[in-house]
Amino acid sequence: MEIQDEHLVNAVRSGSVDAFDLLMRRYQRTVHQIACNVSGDYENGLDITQTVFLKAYQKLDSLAEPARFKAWLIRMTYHEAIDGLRRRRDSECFDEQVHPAGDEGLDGESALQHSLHQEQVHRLLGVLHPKHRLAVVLKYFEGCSIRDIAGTLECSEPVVKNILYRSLKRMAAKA
Amino acid sequence: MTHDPKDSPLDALFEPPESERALWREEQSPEAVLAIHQKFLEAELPDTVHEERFDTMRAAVLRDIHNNPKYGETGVVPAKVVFYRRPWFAVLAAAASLFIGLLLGSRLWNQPAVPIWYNPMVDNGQTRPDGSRSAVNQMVAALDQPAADLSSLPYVYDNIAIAPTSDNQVHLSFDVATHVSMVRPADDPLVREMLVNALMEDHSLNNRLSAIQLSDQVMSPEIKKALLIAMRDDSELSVRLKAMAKLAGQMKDPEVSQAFMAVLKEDESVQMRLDALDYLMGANPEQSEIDALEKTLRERGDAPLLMRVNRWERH
Repeated sequence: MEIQDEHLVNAVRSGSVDAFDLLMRRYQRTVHQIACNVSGDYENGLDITQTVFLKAYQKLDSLAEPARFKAWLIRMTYHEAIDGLRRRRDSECFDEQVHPAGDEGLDGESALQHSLHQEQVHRLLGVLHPKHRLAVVLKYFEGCSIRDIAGTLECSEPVVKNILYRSLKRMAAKA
Repeated sequence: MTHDPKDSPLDALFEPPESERALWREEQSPEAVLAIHQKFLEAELPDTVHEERFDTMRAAVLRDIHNNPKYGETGVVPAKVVFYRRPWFAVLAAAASLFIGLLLGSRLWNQPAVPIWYNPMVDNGQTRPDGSRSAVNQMVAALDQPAADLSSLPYVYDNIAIAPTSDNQVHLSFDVATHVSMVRPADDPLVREMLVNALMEDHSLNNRLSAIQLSDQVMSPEIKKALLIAMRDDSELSVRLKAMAKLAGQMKDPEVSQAFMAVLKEDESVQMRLDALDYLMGANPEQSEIDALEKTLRERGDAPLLMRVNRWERH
């Protein structure tokens, strides 16, 4: 049975570093995914991830509701990614980014198709506002429900639906 | 492809709110949106980072944590809770509520019978027949009225009684007291009144002696009566002697001379009687008065005073 985030957060506050390691293992891919897709910086996503976890540890005592650690971590990742985006003055266009190949384990034509497919997805994400990009990533890559996304973005569910619809419409226009 | 506005595929996808539904149905190419939706559903983003790199990242984070630990084993840092959920806030709120309740309660239940700015002497406009205001009235006027609040209330109301009257009014009965310190001219009516009160007050011998000392500067009917009372009834011989000395100058006043006669008859102190006799004889009384005096002394059998009368007669 998986230990709940709330217990792990309390354990970290009590001095358990292992508990924080467990939290990192649990959310490292989520944080990395959001960091890469929101910032559009696929090379430095791991650096952003590391920074996010360090800041999370330092600010853990400011987390009012330990049960909502994931939403809190995602918001922190989003803000860190936005900061990274601002720092990258010379790389505003997603099209110019170096996207991950992501075809390890595939072979031949399927690997090529998969790579093209991923590249198109990342290019489409690049046309969105960072906050809208976060909503799309949470919805399609993290499998979050509308309600969870609303909790993370701290807005209502209709607003999230609207964001998703407008994001898809914008990407459809650019496709 | 025909688009049925009543059956937009986007409705099923996003469950749009009613306000947005009409706009979404106007979407001319929902298929394009759905295609993007499908593309993202199928976008199985691969693990672009190997587990080893995540291990390295975590190791770096843990190393940093070990070097700068924030949460020690013994020093547990409690979760940051919104202040109004903390116990101390509840205690403070309860204490504040209790204090406010007591304050309001005392205001509502212990209100004085009359408004604090009400002064019966002033508000009734009582003046003496001669047009002057009473000393108490002046004393009240000397204070800054009305009082701003209860804490600085200069009066103490006591023996309060409240009773409704038949004509829809209220009968108030109370004692009012206050402490006043001021400097006034010696002939001020308030000073005279205070002298009278001091002479009638049995608590302080010094006050009575001081009042007698000052009385010749401000002699008034009230002070004269107070001196007469002090001369006849004060328990202290020194006070009676001093009051007598002050009244001796008004021996022509029948009320004063009669009081001196009363002293001759009734005062237990020989010194008082001798002094009274000297003052009476020194005022050049009529022979008939001297005869009446001797008669009184014989009736009383007061030998020392009879001898003193004979001495005065020889002179």
